[in-house]
Amino acid sequence: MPAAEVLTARTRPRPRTAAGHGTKARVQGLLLAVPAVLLVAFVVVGGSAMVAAQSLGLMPLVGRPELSTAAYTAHGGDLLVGVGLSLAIAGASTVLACLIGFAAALIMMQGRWCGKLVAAMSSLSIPVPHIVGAATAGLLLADSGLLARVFGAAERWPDVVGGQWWLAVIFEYAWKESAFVGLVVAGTLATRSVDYEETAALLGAGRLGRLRHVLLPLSLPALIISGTIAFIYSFGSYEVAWLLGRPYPEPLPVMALRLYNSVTLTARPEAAAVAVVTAVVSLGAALVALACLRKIPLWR
Amino acid sequence: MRQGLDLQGLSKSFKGSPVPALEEFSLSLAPGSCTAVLGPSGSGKSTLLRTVAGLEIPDRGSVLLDGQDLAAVRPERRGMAMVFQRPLLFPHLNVLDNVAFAATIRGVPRRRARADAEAFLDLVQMEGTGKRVVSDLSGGQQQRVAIARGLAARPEVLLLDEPFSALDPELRSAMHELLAQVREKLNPTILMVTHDRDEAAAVADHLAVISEGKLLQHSTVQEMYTRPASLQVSRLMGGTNEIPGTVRDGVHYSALGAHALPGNHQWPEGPATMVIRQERIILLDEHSPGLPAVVTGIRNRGPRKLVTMEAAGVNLHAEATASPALATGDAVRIQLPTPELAVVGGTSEHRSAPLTSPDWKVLA
Amino acid sequence: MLYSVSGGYAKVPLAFDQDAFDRLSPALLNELEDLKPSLWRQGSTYPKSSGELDALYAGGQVDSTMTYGPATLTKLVADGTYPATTKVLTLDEGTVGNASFLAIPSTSGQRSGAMVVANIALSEEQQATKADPRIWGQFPVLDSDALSPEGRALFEQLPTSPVVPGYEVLSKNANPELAAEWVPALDEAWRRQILAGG
Repeated sequence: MPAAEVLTARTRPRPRTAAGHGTKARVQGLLLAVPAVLLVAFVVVGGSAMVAAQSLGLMPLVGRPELSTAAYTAHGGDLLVGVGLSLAIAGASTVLACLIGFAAALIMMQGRWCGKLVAAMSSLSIPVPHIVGAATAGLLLADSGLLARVFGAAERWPDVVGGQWWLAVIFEYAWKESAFVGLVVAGTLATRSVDYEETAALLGAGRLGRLRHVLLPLSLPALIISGTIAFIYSFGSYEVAWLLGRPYPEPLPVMALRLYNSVTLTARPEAAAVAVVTAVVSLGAALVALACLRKIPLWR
Repeated sequence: MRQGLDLQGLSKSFKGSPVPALEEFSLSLAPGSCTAVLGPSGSGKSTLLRTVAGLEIPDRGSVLLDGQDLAAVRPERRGMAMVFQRPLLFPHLNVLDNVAFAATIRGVPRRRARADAEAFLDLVQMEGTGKRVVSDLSGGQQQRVAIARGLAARPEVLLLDEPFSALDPELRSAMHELLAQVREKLNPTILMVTHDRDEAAAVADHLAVISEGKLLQHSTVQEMYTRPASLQVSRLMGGTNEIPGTVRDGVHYSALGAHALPGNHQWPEGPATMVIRQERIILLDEHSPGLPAVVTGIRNRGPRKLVTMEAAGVNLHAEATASPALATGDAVRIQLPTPELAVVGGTSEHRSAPLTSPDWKVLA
Repeated sequence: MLYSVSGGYAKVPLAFDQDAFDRLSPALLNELEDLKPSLWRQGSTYPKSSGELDALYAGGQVDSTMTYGPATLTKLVADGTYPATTKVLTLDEGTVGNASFLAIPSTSGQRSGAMVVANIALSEEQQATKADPRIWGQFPVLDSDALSPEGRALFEQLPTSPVVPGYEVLSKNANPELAAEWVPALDEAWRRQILAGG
């Protein structure tokens, strides 16, 4: 059967781009990126090195440089509690942001008026700075805030702002980051998800089946990436937790800022130590995310 | 009980489009048959398929499968699978899991679903590719996997929306062969949209010609060529010869004289246009018996030639093998064999000569 | 409060010394611990800044707040930020007060210019303007007995406040401020024992 011959001849995978050409293009691309990379590396690596040196006692404001981990142990217990608290806040708000953002992306994909409304709302909330968002959340959710007044629940209003569970902080992060996650996921779904959904429907997949077996896996890389960005941002930013949280225990960035601004100038290495711990944990989160991405076939 | 697919009076308009995509479209497909829907681009072919699949909701009319109205049945419950022009394999699944998708959705245990999928990969001659990543496959391979995926859902109706149009010709004929095997083994009812007449003739037993959302004719492939229902169908099927005249007692009278029509059909009396496929006109040298004609143009069509002639003021086209050395201005004789003749109602306005190539892509 | 639990400000050395701190702070911290049930959210948490405490007071969450600038209260009550029933609480033991001061860095290259500016800031007109609650509402640093008649007239023209009692009432029995070195020590002790002790 001649057809079969044609088929076997076709079974071989198409040759990839010629190796020589690909390498050259890659080198060119790298060269083009070099100036920007150098600048960023100078700021990031330089800054990190300075902070690390300060935290290890190598750059004291007064006195002789001496290598020591005293700055790390000075608030040992508080530092550990801070790591736990920051992880919990960032983790909870990232999970919420991913859930809400994914749902928002699905609504945006519907393309009807409510989808457009959600998309417009998300786009509008992106440029709002976190500190403005935090102030707004405070006015809305505080014990004497707008919602408490609207519902006339002055006495029974839960401790959302400054409460034990950091709800207002988590809420603010979840709100801001869900808009970000939603737009990123909608962006990746926009191109082909309708076709894939129809295909899946015709293969017998109902709404839930399509969500689980098509839309979720298709959005997973975008979800992981945007979720990681949201996580690291919430983990490292101080203003929301400072405005809406309670003074103790402290998330790492709030603690770092307080120590840095302390009347006692010798507390600066301790602030640097907290900053180093924050950076190391963030880096760890990014590495975990990359490891997750590598396991996904779609990411290649 | 399989009663096949019945489309009754389907109408569908889209916002912002003055022409309805479907208008009173009715069609009956016998179970296990393969019907190709032919029509130019924008004629409503794809809308028809999407409406049958439940992806579009018709304004009026209904889709019946085995006698059951599917109006309230969601696409995922219609027992239909569709293969699109693009393979649309799920990029997050490997080849095998793509084919196993329908089974996975139904909750079949993974091992069994995969074993089943292997069988369908064998069917489309893609055995051993199951572990591959979708993007490693060529376009033709992906399309074969897409067909395997559709078939693995064991659809009662297989909908094909120009599934082979993005493939190169040799691969396309291989796919036609594959489709024939699938019909032999699984016997689904197939509704296929195409704009390629040769493809339609190669894979389908029935043709439905559609234009501007309306069904022009539904018949066997052979009939579609030899007994077009209208001038429009004749033209859409690539027919180029139209001889205006009148029918009396089964004989067509025209500038070319009297031609007896095939006796197995009741031909309506009155003004009518006689049509004959260009492949069926017999071209002879000027000393042979037949109608005298003069060659007005020759166009090469690969191994064959499309010869344009004038006979008694009528423009005619004939396909000739390359052997007789013909040149423009040569005198020839032609014969119009009775079994190849057909007439369609009414006189036609004369088509302006010279004809462009009856290529669907040009029409599109 | 440290003065109060220590038996008056005279018992607390203004300059910080660790012995005095170790001797005096336990009573203070015990008192703060005992206060908890009467505090906002039963003392399970605290506002992080005086601004936050002010906001809680404005929102009706707490019954009192603290300020170094009582003259600002007139305006805050007038524009409705604070409730109309706001009263200034003067304690029998007296309150801690301080005055803003102007300083010239020892490294300044323009001492004479700085002194001119300082003199203007300390002038009767500037101080009277500063004391006007409609403008800033901070008490003057000038001794009223030493004022010129014109200057005295300027201060007498200032509106009297329905909320804030006169300066002589407020400054009665004024307690001195401790040296800055006390702040981090007290702050840290409070943070560890009261705040973290939850």
